Amino acid sequence: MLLFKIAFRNVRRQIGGYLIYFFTVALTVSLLFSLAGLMFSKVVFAFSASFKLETALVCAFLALVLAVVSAWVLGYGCAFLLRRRKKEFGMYLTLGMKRSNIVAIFVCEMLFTFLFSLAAGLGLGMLVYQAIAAGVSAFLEADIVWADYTAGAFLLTIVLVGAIFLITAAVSAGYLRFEKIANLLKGKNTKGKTVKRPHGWLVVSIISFVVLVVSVLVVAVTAAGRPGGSDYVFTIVGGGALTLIAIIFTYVGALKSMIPYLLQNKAFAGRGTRTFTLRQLSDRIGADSVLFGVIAVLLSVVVAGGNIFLTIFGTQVAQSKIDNPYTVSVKAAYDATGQLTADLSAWMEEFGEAEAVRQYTVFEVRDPALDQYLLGSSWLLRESDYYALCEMAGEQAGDLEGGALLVCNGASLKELEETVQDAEELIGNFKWETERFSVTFEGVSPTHKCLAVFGFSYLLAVPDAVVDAVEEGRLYAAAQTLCAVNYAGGAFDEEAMDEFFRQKNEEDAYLNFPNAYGSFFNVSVAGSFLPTLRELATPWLLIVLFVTLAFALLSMAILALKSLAAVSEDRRRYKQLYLVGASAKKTIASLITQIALYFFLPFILPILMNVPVAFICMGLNDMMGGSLTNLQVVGYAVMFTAILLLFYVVYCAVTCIVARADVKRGLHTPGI
Amino acid sequence: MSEILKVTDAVKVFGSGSVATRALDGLSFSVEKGEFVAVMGPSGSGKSTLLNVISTIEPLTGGKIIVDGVPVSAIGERELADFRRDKLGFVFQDYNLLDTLTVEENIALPLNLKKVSASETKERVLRVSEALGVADQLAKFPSALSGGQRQRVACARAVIASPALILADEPTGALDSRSSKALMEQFCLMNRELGASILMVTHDAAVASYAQRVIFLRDGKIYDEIFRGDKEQKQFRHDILAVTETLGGGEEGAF
Repeated sequence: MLLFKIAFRNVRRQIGGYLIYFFTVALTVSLLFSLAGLMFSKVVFAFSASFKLETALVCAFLALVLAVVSAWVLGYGCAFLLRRRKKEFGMYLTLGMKRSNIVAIFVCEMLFTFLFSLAAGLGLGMLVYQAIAAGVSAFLEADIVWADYTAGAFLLTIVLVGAIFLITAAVSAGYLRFEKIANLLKGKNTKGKTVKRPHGWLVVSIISFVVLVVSVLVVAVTAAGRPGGSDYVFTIVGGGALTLIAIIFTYVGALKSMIPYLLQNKAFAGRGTRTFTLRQLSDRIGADSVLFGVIAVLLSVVVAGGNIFLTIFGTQVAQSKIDNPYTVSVKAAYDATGQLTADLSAWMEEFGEAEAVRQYTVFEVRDPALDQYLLGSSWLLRESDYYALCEMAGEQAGDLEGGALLVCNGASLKELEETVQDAEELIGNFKWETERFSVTFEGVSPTHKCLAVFGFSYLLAVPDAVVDAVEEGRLYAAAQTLCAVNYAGGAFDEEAMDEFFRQKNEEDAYLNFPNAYGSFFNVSVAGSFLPTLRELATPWLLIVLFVTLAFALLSMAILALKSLAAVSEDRRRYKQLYLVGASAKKTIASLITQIALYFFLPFILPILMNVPVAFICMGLNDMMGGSLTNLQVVGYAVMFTAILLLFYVVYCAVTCIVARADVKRGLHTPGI
Repeated sequence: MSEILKVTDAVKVFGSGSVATRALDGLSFSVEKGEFVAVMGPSGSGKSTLLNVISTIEPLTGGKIIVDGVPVSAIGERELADFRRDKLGFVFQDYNLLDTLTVEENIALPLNLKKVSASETKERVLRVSEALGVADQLAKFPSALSGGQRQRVACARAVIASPALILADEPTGALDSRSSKALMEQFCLMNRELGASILMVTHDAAVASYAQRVIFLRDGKIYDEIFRGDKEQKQFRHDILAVTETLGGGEEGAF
């Protein structure tokens, strides 16, 4: 009971020192709970109804990854606590306390902190879980859902966290049980050392950096090109792997050579506390250079993976919107009787009151002299329909000025611009066609997305009178019953409409109206593409989200705990620096500089990786139709990095606050 | 000679009410410029507290301390570091060398903090390290040195910025007798050749005998004070031992 009391008092007294450990455990628990919540959630799983098994497998895999990462982080946290306290435990031993008592005290302390963190983590996890569910819904452009709490999620989290606690407690107990008293009593016996062969490491760093740049360029150029064959995959995968290896060696080389060079420059290093700061960093960073490289790799993977996912998903969503400029778009077969047109109108009304409806026709003009041979330049659209369709899509129409305008959708215009020779040829065709209709060619229209849904890349918008004047026998309706509908308020059951028209297409009554696509009519419901995209994207989104969080947490927690463990051992040095004449402000500034550099050095390359990754994403975007602007692609990269950076800054700030309090207390404590 | 340190009615009280302890109880003395003074006394006599209040680590409860004309209690929190850097040099029992810095960097640290140019720093480090016999150890780290060498490095660091007063707290506490003797000779050298004023706390009569004057403390007050004058060191040590016998209740080594 006495030991229990001592343990409880110890935790209460050293709450400041335990803060970062508590913070880390609580965050880890909250992430585990969020993932467990998603695994058991019926609501969130509704996003991936067709991929339930795949999503469940993804979640299970992620839970395993997160559990391993958590065990690592919490094990690290435990080692951090031990390093802070081992001198005290050594003292207990010299006072005659039994090792079993010390083990009991430490395990009790850990248990208190763990239970407290578990409770806080579960509380935080309930919020994080809802935030993730809401974030996932918002990202997938679905209605925000309130995720359901399940007993399974609580149970799984407690079991996982409990298992991790038992493992870490057993390892710590083993250490305390068998470590020599002398080793417990003395802090880490740091021996200053100079880095051997800094020139060699500099060469390693330069070569690795060159390899890094070349491999990134190769991957970027390959990704920007069109995919083709196994060489493409091999280059991307091989180049990516080489990039990651090069990152590690760049870090190891740079970190081992940079500080010795700075220290050699006495004019730079011999100012204020710089020598002290650099030596402290040299000591830590030199030993952790491989760790820094690995953390940089993890963060680079997170940055690259996150950006590529956002680009692919964003491209898909943007492309779907381009393909569906109206709430509902219909392309139906030839309808001489008017029955199909009447039926379509009636069905549309069943789903709501249409705000705007436009029925129009795209004409195909055939030249008898060329028989059935059609040119891409032979599609005509009435000027009145062109203006009306642009207005409904909220797009700026070009001015025909009584002549003809070459109307292109977004992707086609891009193709025109990219291949000048084709563009000249195409425009030549259109000019030739225009002359046949006796109108002036007025040029190319602004980029339009409103035509994409019907599969036309290029059209010639001409005055209505030109269409009416085409002689009988040359003019055919390419798609006779076309209509674009915008529903009032945009609110109707999109999925039900999609399903309704699917069924109608299979009814015998419309067998007389076949169109070129083999069905009677094609109905594109703008909102119906999202559920499909959601189903496809949900498992990937979860992977990106949790891998990002797990890697970021792992990196930040390790850096924070290592920093604080180092600070607790370095308090004596800060006191010495203070006594020699450095002000408290300068001493603390040196500490903050060390922590900030320690935190941000591994983050430099991942941030720089945004540049080539953004180029790769631009290439991907072009490859997938170029539906996003380059600014949007860069925006994704900036947004993703900014969020990651924000978490990083918060973690670094908390670490600095705890370390500052620790060192400042030490400056005024006699005998440290 | 001018006064480099003047302590007047210094009072330091730890705790309050019934548990209050007067570590310094109206202590007054002064140290002249270029003087080497030792302070002796049993445990709890106020030796370490005296060094702490002079070095501004602990604030005074009452009285006044003036170092090189500057009243310590009048120095603001911001100027304290500059005061310690410019006016004081420290030598501790456990050396207090920064183990991550080389010997050269340790010695140069006070000059770095004063933003002295790199060339001047190099020149002064060389001069002081040669004087104290550690010039051939400059590239090494403290962990590679013997105890005596480490303490000489600590002395070099204490003296390099030419402080008004060097405070030494049991500088030979971690050294064997041979190294202690060598170190004390270095102290005399610092005092004689480099003009350093030294206030050294020690419990060792042999060590104190190198000083020009020994102040004995008991219960936070001056118990006695003896001067070496023209006496031989051996004679002075006997005088010191004689005082410590009465101070410690008649037993040698009562401290």
